Amino acid sequence: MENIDVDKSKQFEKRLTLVFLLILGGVTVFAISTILITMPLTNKTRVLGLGAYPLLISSALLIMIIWNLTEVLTGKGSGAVLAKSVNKEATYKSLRLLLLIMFSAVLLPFLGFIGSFMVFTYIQMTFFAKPRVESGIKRIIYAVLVPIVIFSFFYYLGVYLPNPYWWPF
Amino acid sequence: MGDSIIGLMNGFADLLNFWSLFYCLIGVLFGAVVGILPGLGPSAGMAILLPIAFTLAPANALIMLCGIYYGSMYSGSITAVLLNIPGESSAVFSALEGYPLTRKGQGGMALGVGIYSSFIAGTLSVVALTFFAPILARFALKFGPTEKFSLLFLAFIFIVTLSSQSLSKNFISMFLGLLVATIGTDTITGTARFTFDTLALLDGIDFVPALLGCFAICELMNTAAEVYNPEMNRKINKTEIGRVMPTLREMWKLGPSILRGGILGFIIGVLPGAGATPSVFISYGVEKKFSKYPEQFGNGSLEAIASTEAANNTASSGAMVPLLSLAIPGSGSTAVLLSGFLMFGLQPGPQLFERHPEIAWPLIASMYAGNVMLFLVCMVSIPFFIWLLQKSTPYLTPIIVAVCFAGVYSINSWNKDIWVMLICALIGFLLIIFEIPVMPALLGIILGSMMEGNFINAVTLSGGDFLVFFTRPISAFLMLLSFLIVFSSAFYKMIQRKKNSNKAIG
Repeated sequence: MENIDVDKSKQFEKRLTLVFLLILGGVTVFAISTILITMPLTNKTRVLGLGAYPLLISSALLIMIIWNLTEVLTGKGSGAVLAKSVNKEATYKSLRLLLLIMFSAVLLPFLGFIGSFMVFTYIQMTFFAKPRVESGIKRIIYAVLVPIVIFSFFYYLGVYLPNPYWWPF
Repeated sequence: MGDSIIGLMNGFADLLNFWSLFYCLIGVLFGAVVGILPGLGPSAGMAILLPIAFTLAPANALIMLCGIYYGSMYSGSITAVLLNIPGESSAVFSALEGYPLTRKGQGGMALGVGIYSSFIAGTLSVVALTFFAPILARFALKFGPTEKFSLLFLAFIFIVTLSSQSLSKNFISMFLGLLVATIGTDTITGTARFTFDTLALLDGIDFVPALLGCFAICELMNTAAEVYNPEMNRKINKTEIGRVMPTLREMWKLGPSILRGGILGFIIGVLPGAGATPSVFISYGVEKKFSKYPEQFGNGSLEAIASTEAANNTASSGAMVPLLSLAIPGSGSTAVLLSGFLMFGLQPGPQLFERHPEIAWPLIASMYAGNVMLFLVCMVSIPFFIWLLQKSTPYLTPIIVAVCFAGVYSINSWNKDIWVMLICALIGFLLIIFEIPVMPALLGIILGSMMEGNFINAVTLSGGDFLVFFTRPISAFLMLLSFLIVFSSAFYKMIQRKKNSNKAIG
């Protein structure tokens, strides 16, 4: 039974790797076609045109992707299998934190640096933190102080972090 | 050489007054702060203090600016080792090797080795600068775009072949980074590439957001995924950082690593336009080849830290050679330093030491003093960072994310860089899941435009002859060395795989 589960897991990872490589390959092919359509490859004065070097690099990338794809499909070579299994729950937790950070980046124009980081800090300490910070007052004080201190520190260094778009000053 | 010794003695005599030492200390302190903060490099730090420098006497102003340059060299490694946030691209290996040591409770040792290696190598490099600057400057002039491209190619090959992961995955990462580096405005023609008529992409992808995304944010994502183990968490939070002072015996053992890294770093730093980053990458590669314990690399190797920190520090002294001898800035930071010279009507170059010895020699003497000050500042600041590390993750995470946002925003005051950082974090996370190493991609983003510029110039100057990389002697040597390393690495991996499959069958 265990062997069946391990096999299923390996098959899933193989399919996932193939999908990832195909997406990467697709992006590379798109880059190559963009170069061929929009950029000159030669130039009278420079010998090499605007697109020559990117074409070299993207072609080399495509060859390496095909090489790795071959390894995965044949099961031969050091790039054939993943050494560590993909943990779905761990991946979900990681992406959840990234989404929260992205959410605070979305809030930046509306709440400014201080506002968006107050929101981020409070949500992170309330729902994502391990161990969870139990005291609500501690969470609020920390969420208010940290962004203000960092904002002030960078302001002192001459770096003016973003304010909300409606901020009149 | 006798003239140099007399000049240096006079320089120390001029330096040893309260105000010169005070401004040197101010520079080192400010440089240390700037070096820790991601996004604010030494050039930004020097630019911030340039208006203040203008109000000072020329010697004191240049001593202060030089102090900033010096002070930022090591401090970025403190946060790299303790928090996995490299303040500079040259601190990447401190994060790679030092942070695993912190997780094992040996962060103090990693810091101590880094500080002592920087101090020893930095002092020796200033001696080399004092006595060998003109000879080294002539050597630097032999390096044209062909040689620089070959040197960068060698740096990439080192990184790609050193990893234990498959060659194909390493090359995918490397070429991906190089391709991303082509986004934006072409540096030679000024024409937009891969921008799709978007203003945001005209500036290209800066390496600082990529660095922070792939290191700091990715590390937070990995930490968020870990199953919370109170026992383990208590152990890490109780900060078994351990001792910071390595013993004399331990430093003696690391002596060869420091020497190798220091010499490589200085020679590569002398090359105009090279900077500290290529020297750090090459010294890492060379150190792994020479090390008796190569399996430790990537999991916390003190030899790697000693070598790369030595290279980082000596590269900054090396970059002063073309500036002082030929008036050619060796890096962005020395370009700001050059503007400091010009601000006071001083022309660096061979004449500087003859016409203005009262400026030149105290400046060089201040580099010795600055090295000592930096050592003391770092030793004093480490307890603060250890205290910071003792705060558990829920308190640290918002600080790290906020500092990353602020550091990245400080580059261009544009939200686009923040989004670049987050997208790079996502891509870096996916690369880690599929066991594609991130380091070659980062190197590609950092050095890609330099590599392209040298490649295009080399081919243009040779009239379209691609064989120029194999016909010029220095370049030919570097390219042949690169191919030798690739083939020997592939051959070695093939033998290892056969051995492992024979063992499995047996």
